[in-house]
Amino acid sequence: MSLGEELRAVAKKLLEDGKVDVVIGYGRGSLPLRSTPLFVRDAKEADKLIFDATCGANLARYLRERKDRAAVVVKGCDSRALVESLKEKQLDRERIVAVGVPCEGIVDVEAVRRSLGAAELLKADLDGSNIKVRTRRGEETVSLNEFLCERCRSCDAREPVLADERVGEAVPSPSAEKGALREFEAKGPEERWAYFAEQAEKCILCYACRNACPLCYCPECFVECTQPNWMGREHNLSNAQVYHLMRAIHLAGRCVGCGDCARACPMGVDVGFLGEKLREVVKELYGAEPGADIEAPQPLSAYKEDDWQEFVM
Amino acid sequence: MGGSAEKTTDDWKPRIVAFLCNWCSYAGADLAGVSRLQYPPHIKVIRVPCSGRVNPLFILRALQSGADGVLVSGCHPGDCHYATGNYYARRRFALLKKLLDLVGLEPGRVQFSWVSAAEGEKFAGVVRKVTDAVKALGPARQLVQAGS
Repeated sequence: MSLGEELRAVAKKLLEDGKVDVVIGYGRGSLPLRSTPLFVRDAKEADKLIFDATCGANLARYLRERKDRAAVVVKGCDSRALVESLKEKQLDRERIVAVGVPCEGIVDVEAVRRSLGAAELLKADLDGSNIKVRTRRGEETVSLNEFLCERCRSCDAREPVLADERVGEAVPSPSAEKGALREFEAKGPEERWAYFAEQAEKCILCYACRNACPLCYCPECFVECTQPNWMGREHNLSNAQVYHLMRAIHLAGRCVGCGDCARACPMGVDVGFLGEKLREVVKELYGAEPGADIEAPQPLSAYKEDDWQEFVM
Repeated sequence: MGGSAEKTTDDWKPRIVAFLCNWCSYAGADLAGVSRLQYPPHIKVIRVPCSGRVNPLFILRALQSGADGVLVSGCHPGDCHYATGNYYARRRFALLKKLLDLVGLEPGRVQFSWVSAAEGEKFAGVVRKVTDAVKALGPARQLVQAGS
C-alpha cells in the first residue's frame, strides 16, 4: 500500500467507526505544487486525501476552538505544535486523533518559480526526487532536494512525536543542517543588520505569518493593542523590524520551526530565521525543545537560580 | 544602516532610558543622589515595580522613539522583592540580547544590570559605563523612526 492509500484507509475507518466527526488533512490544490487543507466529514470523501511534498500547512491550527472530535494529519513539526498547544491548554486531547505521517521536506514553490525566472508555474508534478515543471518558456525538470523550504533543511525531528495512528515508514532524521545559520553568524554586525533590514523592507505588515502560525492565537495581538498603541501601524522599516523581533520573542520556546510563516509570506521575506536562532538558544541555555516533551515546562515560564547571565553588566 | 548619517557634534547629548525596579535599582539610584555621587545626567528613569515588568517591547519602543541607549536594572537574583520576578526577567532579557546580537544591533545600546538598594556607588558606575559606551557609538541609527 502506498502512503496515500494507507492514509485514506485510516481516515475512512476513523469516520466509518464514528471515532471522529471530521478528518483534517490535505487535498490537491488548484494551483501547481499547492495542496489545500481538506475537511473530510464523510468516509466517501476520504479518497480526496493526499500526502506529499506539497503538504506544508500546519494543520494543528485548525484544531483550536473546535467543538467536534477531529482527526488531524500531522508531520513531525505539526505534531510538535500540537504538543505545545496542549501544554498551553488550548486543545482537548480527548477530542483529537493525531495521524502521524513521515515527511522529508516540503517544496518551496516560490523558490522554484523564481529560479525559473517565471511569472507563474503553468503545470508542475512531483516525480520521485524531481519536479517536472511547465512555464511559458517550456518544460524543465528540477531536483526536489534543491528546492526544499528553508526550515525543512534544518529540521532534525521528522518523526511525529504524538501519533495515535501512524502511516508510512519512519524516515531518518538527519542531524540538523545549521550551515546557513552559522554562515550568517560569521558575518559582521553591519552585514547582519543589512540583511535584517533588507528582509524587513520587503515586509508589508500583512501579518500573514502571524495568522498562519499555529501558536499565534492571542485574542488581542500586541500589534492590535491601541491602549497603548505599542506597535506603530505605519509601513516603515522600523515597525517591520520591531514586529518581527517581538513575534520571535513571543514565540521563544514555543516555535516548532514548521515554516508555515515563510510559506504564507506574499513578499518572500525570510520569516522564521529569528525563530530558528531562538530555538537553538533555548536548547543551549535552558535545555528546551519546543514540542518534544509535553511534561516539560516552557522555558520562559520557568527559571533556574543559576541561569546564564553573562550578558548582565 | 538606514537613516541619514548624523555627525556627532559637540552638542549631542546621548538620551538613555533606564528602567529601574522600584525596590532595588531605583532605591540604589536614590541613594546615589542622596550621597551626592556624580554621574552623567543623560539617563531618563522609568520606575517599574520589578524588572520582570519590563516587556522587551518597551526596550524596542524606546529605541524606535529615539533613545540612544536603554538600561534595565533590577534586584540581584535571589533578592527580588517579589521573589521570582527577576528570574523570569533574566531569561527574557537573555533571549532578547541574543536576538539583538544576531541581527547586528550595536552592542552597548541595550544593557542590563543588577543593582541593589544599598549600591549607590555601583549605580553611578553602571550609568558611567553605559553612557561612555553610548557616547562612543554616537547617535542611534538603528530602529529609529523618522521624526523621533
